[in-house]
Amino acid sequence: MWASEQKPIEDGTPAEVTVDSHEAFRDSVRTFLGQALTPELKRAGELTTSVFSDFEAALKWHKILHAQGWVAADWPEEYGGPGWDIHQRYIFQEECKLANAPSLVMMGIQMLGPMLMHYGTEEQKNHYLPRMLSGEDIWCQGYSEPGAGSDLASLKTTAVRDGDDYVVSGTKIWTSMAHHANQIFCLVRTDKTVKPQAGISFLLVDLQSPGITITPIVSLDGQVEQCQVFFDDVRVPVANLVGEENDGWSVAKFLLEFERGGHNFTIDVKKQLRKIHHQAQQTPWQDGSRAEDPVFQHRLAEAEIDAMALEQTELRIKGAVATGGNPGALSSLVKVVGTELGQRLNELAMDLAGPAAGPMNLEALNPGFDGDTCVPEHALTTMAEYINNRASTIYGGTAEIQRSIIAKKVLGL
Amino acid sequence: MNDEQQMLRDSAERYLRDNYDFAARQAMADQGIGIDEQHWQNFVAMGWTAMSFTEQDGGFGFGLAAIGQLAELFGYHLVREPMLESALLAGEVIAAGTEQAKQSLLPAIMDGSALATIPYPTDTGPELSERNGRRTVRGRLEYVPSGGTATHLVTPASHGSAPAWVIVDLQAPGVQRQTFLTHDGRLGAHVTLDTDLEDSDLLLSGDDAQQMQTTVYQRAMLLAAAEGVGAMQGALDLTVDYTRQRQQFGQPLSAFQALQHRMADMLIQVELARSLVTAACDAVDGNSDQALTLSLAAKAKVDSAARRVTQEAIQMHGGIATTNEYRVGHYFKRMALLESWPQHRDQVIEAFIQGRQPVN
Ligand SMILES: Cc1cc2nc3c(=O)[nH]c(=O)nc-3n(C[C@H](O)[C@H](O)[C@H](O)COP(=O)(O)OP(=O)(O)OC[C@H]3O[C@@H](n4cnc5c(N)ncnc54)[C@H](O)[C@@H]3O)c2cc1C
Repeated sequence: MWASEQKPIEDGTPAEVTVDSHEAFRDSVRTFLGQALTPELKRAGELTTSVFSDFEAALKWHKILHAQGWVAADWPEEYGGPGWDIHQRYIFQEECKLANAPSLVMMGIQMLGPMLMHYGTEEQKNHYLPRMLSGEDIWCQGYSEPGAGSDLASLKTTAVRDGDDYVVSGTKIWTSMAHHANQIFCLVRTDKTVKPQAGISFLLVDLQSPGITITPIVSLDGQVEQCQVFFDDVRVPVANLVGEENDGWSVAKFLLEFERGGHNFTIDVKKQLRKIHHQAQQTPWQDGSRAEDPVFQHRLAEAEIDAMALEQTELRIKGAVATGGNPGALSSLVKVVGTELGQRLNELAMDLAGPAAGPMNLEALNPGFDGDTCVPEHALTTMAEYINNRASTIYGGTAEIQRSIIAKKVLGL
Repeated sequence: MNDEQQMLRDSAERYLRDNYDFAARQAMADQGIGIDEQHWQNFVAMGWTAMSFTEQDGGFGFGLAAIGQLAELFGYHLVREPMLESALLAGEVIAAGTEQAKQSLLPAIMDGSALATIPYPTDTGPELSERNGRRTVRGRLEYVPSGGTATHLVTPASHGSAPAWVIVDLQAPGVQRQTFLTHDGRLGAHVTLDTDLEDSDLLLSGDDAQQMQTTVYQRAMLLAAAEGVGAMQGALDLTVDYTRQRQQFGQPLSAFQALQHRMADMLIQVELARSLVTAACDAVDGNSDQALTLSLAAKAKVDSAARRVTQEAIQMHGGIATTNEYRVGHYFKRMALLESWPQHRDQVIEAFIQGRQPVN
């Protein structure tokens, strides 16, 4: 079935996540969450309608986890991680998600951190990693540009060497959380004379630098999460270059695999399923509820079966990674399946919400809100989630680009 | 299409294309302003509020085939003023009501000074009762479409065990509204009624009321379906235009066959839906015994096609489609909400199953 040089999933070594020896670990995580997750933080988790939670809540939660030494679950101990194995990391993520902990802003710890460990200088590691852990630095990712989305290598923001600085000019778009961040990691063009991929460098830029303007973009749900960032002759010390000059493309590719492969879609999907079951019980239908409606249950069961297939696939991948493999093109497979299944689940939730999907409820989606809402609690986030999750097949490499990767790398076409 | 219909369509198309600016629409919607007065007056001037009423009542006597054309254009241009709902749904009930109600309200609907809406269908509706010579209506209606913009509510009610339709002035004492902005840029409301009615406010009762329930919600279904055809066409046209212009990997997105085929699929869906909607409108106008089945089929088809078409439109645009400033996502949001108007899409399919001819 898998014709190719790159076998997608190594056989053998099945990763069984819920092994007995980890039950004690799971209990300790639960105990911690029971104490540390305040009602306001949980509320922020419940009201999350995209990959990002309310920023203030996310930052608070970040600091609580940092005090516990758990904020960088995937990091090795030498850099301040808890040194967990792959099963513990999964359990931790799963418990946090199902307990409605706010989502952390992930561009620093999940994306840039591992990359700096691999490519960064000692100074860069010593300076940036602790500030990432403490939450002192909030990072955003400056890759995409108005003219360079799927075709990222065509990016035009330039960095020209001038003494000990680069002078950066151009613009980045769709930069998530730029309005909250104080740092941005960017791909910039440092050589226009070579083929596009070969003239790109990876730069760390302080967002407080003179010449930077950040313009928020209002999303379809009426909220702001993305921005456009303008660079007008911004001076950036050469010391902020990561990797070699003109070697930014390989640095970025390393990072993209972390962005796609480091994520456990099964956990998101499980949370959505749980919510839908709950919502179905509360949704009147004919003489009972939607939970008793065979038509809806059939549709839901089909999605659950796909969720099980996704989970088993993620486990097989973990098994391969645990024995030293690279997820490679597999992260593309899981990204397509995980995001598209998530979108199907949003549709099921919409089927339940009916007219309650209508009101925008912008104030009621704020965790501090304590007034009357005009829709039932179980439908409060449904439409905003449906809207925002359309982006999941666009960011982090579109579903089309992922399919192209599978066709090329796995099928060898 | 006959000449009159063609003229209506052409003038509406010209007006909306040249004047119904999306950025201005969105700016108003974001500020929570329910209708654009300027457009509203122009719609009235073009006769759109009078289209469906008979000539004796001061209207033009157009059938659903013509009205469907207009609804389609409303969908295409993302018109958010609930004019068709006011004239064609609430107006239909008023026109069938008492002579007095007709005389006092139809002119106001037609000249645009009144804006009437109808609620989601309910099993029982608010209750009508008479006490000490006063007639009172009590009850709560949720998610009333454009309930925050309307001046009047025309609603089914129950009068003892008998069905009825009444009209309520939404400014009257004893009417409470909780108004909210909806994702399609309109103002909905939960409406709580505990208010006195005039005799003439009881528009219909008994069998006539029952019959009206079927007629009006079938119309609502078809109007929504026709609007959906326009919205899908709008989403498709934008996608085709955008992918022609947007360059990635040194070529326009439209050059990628993977996307071409999907746009072809979108077109197929739009055309299938259009065929059913047109057939259903004709069947209603011709009093065909297939009218109900075709209407249900048309709405069910639009529900599923619109999901797919508007989702695909967003996907093929990429990031730009996720912004409030760009048009294509607004088709998606509008169609997501129309899936449950006037009935849930699963109820529509359920009704279709109940009504279809047995196969032998
Ligand atoms: C919510 C959200 C958050 C984001 N956050 C960030 C961020 O923090 N930092 C950042 O740098 N970027 C971010 N992005 C940007 C994201 O990475 C880009 O949107 C994405 O890469 C797609 O680029 P594009 O939007 O320009 O679409 P385009 O590349 O123009 O693509 C449009 C459509 O064409 C398709 N297409 C393109 N090429 C092909 C092909 N060869 N074959 C077939 N189909 C093709 C695409 O798949 C897509 O469907 C974010 C985007 C969103 C929506």
